[in-house]
Amino acid sequence: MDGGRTRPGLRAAAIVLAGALLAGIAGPAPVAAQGGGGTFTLPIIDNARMWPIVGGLPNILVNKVLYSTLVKYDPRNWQPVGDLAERWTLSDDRLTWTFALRRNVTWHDGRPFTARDVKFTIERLWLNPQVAFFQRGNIAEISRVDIVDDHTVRIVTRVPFVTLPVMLGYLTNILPEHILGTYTAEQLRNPVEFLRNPIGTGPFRFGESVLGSHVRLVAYDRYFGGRPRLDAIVFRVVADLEQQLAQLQTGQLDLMIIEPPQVPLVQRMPNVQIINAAQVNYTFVAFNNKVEPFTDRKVRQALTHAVDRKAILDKIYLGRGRLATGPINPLVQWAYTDRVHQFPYDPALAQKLLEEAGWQRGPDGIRRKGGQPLRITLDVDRGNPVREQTAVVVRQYWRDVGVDAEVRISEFNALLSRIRSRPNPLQTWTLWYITPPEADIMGYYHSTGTLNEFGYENPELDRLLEQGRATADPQARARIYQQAQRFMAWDAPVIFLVYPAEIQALSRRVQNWVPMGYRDALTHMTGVTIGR
Amino acid sequence: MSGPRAVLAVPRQARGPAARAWLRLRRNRLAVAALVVLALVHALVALAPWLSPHDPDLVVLARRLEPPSRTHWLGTDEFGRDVLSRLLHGGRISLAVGVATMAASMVIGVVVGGLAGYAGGLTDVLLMRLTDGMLAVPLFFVALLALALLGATIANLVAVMALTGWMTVARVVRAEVLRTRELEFVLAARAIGCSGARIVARHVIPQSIPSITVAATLGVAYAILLESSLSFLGLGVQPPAASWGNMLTAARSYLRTTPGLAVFPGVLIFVTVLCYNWFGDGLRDAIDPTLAER
Amino acid sequence: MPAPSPPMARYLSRRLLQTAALLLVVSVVVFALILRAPGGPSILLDRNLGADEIARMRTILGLDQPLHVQYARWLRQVAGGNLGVSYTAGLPVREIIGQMLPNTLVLSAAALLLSLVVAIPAGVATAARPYTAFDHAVTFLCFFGVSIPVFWYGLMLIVLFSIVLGWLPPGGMYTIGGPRDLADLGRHLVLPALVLGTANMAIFARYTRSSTMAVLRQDYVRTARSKGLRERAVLYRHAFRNALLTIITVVGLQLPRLVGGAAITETVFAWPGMGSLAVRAAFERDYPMIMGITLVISAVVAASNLLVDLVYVYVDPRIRYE
Repeated sequence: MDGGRTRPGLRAAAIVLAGALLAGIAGPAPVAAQGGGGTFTLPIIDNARMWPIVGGLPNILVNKVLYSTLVKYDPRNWQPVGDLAERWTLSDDRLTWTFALRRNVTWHDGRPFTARDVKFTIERLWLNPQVAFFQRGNIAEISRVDIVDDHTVRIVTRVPFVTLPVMLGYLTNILPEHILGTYTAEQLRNPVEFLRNPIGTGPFRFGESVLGSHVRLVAYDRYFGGRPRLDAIVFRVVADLEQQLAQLQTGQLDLMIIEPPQVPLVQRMPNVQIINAAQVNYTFVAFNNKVEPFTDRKVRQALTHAVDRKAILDKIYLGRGRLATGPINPLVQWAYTDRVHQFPYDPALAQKLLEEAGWQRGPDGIRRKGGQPLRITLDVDRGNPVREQTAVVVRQYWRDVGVDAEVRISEFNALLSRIRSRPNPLQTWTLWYITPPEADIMGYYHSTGTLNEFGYENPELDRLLEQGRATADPQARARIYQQAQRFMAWDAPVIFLVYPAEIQALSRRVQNWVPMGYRDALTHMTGVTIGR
Repeated sequence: MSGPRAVLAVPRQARGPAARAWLRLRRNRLAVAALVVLALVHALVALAPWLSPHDPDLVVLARRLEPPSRTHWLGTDEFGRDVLSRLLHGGRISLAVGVATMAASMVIGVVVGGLAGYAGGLTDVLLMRLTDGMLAVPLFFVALLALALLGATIANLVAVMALTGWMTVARVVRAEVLRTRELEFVLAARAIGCSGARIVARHVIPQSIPSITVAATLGVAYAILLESSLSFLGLGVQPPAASWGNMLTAARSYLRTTPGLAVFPGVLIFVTVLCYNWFGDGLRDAIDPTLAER
Repeated sequence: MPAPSPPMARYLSRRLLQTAALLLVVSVVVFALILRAPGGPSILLDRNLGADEIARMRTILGLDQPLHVQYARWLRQVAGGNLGVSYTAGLPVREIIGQMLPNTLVLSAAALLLSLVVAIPAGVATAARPYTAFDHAVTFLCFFGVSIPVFWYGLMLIVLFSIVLGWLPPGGMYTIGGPRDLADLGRHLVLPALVLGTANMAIFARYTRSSTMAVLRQDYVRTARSKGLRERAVLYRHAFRNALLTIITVVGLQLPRLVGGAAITETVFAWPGMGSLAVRAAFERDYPMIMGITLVISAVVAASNLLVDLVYVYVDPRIRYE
């Protein structure tokens, strides 16, 4: 159709196509071309842009193996351990961090990695207002970086910021100064030429990128942690979940993340195992704390008691996770506590609380206060079965206690932009958070937090969170965050649902896979191998 | 084919073109069977509130994904909702969307086609340019964009599908208008001073009803199928409201573990669309017998 | 093709003008849609971006300017052969489309070819023996083809041919790491081409049948028959050749649908083409990408339609473009 301007051309094209079709039916299956260590293949839902300044899951995943961070997380306890940095210390005034960097690190083009790269990345990229770094909120307290020598940097913060090492392991890849140093701010926003052949320090270097098809990264022989045992990692662009499943079953994919509805199917695939991987996260039903009736704690508590979260965990999450008690995930062991106010499923108590709050049942069964019916819209994003199912089920639970609830499903984009318009026009919505492995939740629940989408403002909690961020003594910090968790559980600014496991469907050929959520497991790839 | 000469030639068929078409249609057993099935499906979904054994939206988490039983004849879905009740209610929405889309595109098509055919001249040229232009654009793609960008409400869905589906009708109506405006009784009506709009409405449009009906029938089939395709992309009728398209899409996740969930809406879409196509085809043969003759 | 005669040149230039006008109208409509859309580009909606970052990005991308200014800027870019830079991919839209368009053309062409290769013989054969069991079976298959939801059909084929039988790969265009040769392409092409081609197969077969039957009733065919010409010769030399005109018209009419239908087929089969690209761009609100794809797809369809019109000249010597 494209080339044939003449008749012979058309005919030739037709013959080629027919040949391809026939060859396809008759031809032998090609043997997968693999070297000794094997190729690990996983899906991404869109083309990856290998520029760790912008977000998006496909980018994040590829960048995990292409680039390095100063720290990464220990699979055993999610504590920060060295990656590009070897160790770090905090000064007595709690404002200056000194990071000692590894000495044997080279970029994929062979040039050495030095302190200049760290200073450049933090000051010229992360903190540069002309370059919108998507994780800027996490590191915004940094005021400057001083080079002590080639392998030592000092990072100075404006206020005491004890969570800095954790934040430096969270989606904060270091980039090469020797290539990008001469770029203008305009070019740094979108360095098209650099992205054609991105240079990192990770265990795999850039191989090829075929748009709409795949990105192939190959083992970097001089990786500072030793050459990875795999030969390559391929990220295949497969948007459709059913297609991913088919490729997993037929062996084209080695890993995919599945949702509970797919579990029974994957359990039947003999070549695949299912792993419940830990990830620092929680799911929730949010109240807009700025609007009636959610300004009333009794109503929030009642709506929490009305929901059978245990049933949601068992039936929708198929038990793969743990009931949430607050905004801090149990993986943050030092801070987590479940000794907080509990909200067992108790519709009778929910009804009682609603009545105490002045919401009486009308003749149609719907509760009213001052003639106004209790009518709630629950927003949810489209496409994720767990969240969609949660919304539909929560609506039913609320209806059971006399709330006229409706579910509205919309595109994630549209939902997020509604949540973020000020003032937030929504009443309730159900979403999730994946967070750094940290108890510092200022960004989410402090009255000035950039991610505080709940309109939640409480001076008491504000004070606790500010204290926690400035306290260096681990035990004192733990006490502060435990108090914050107790406070939040009682105040119920959102319904904390579940700490869900990430359900990984992993090919049985894969060995030495680190059972963390795959965003973090990808930072521990050097030992992974593919069997036959 | 029609008009006074036919009366002279074949006295037996003196009942007018529509009646004769109906006679021919009745001899096409497959088309009649399709019509019967369609009537049945429409009756069932129209009576959904009275026929449904359960509330289609009632969630019972304890009873998810149950196989067919005496309480749930077709089993339950991933929320423990009754599949039969949802099929009946979902059918209402699917068919209503299909029929509403068809009706809206008929209105646009008849207005554009009628205007073009009767007014002629520059109006005709411009309107037909528009129609041809529309036909030369990848409309599914534009519909997809419009719904993704504006949001897939039912109103948007019907509007987008109608705005991208009226062109066939416009062409058919225009052709009919061009044919009938020269017929004797239309000329006569014009001679006694009837206004143009009146002539089109009273004389010309009724003449094109058979062809419009064919286009309408095929239009419903197309709209139902299109809704299911858009549902696959998440742009059809939005859950938790049920439509056959979104039920089928949701059931994809359970295809190989609870196949029943996917089979029922799939079969209903298929059978309904098939019958609309079949009936429309039979109707066309009946109206234009030259196609069906040996 | 002979050197364009003056009337042909005039015809071509008129068609090109019309196409340009059409593209302009389509781009205005899509631009209006984009700007009426709630929400914004997903790169601005990253949950970790603060309000000030978002505001700055909007300024950088020019999204804070009035609509007509944005459109004029886009139009100026396009006039200079530049379709802008994709928000999400960070690469020039022209480059991305340049990589994806050939894949879609291969798929569409294969689907078209497959449908013609099956539909024309089936249509002619049923026209020769109408109302037989064979005719009814083909008719039924045709109705099947236009009545089944495409994504559903595709999924069934994947389950059957890839998972149960293991004959064909479930998706993609080439085996990654394998040879990018014709055989490998073919193996990946069979299922999506079949899915994309089925509806057209049905439509083409129906039209071939009815137009062949119509020709068979014509006087000159009766004459040919009475002269003792073999039935086969009658069918192919006379009936089919004339029926071909109808088929070409129908092919022309179906082309836009073929390209549009690729959106679903490509998504189901993870085919790296314009269709799946368009779906993702729409959801990501990647404005430069959406506009670029709209423009290119419409242009491709217009070009194919022109091609179809030119093919008429060869098939029907009576037609001259004047």
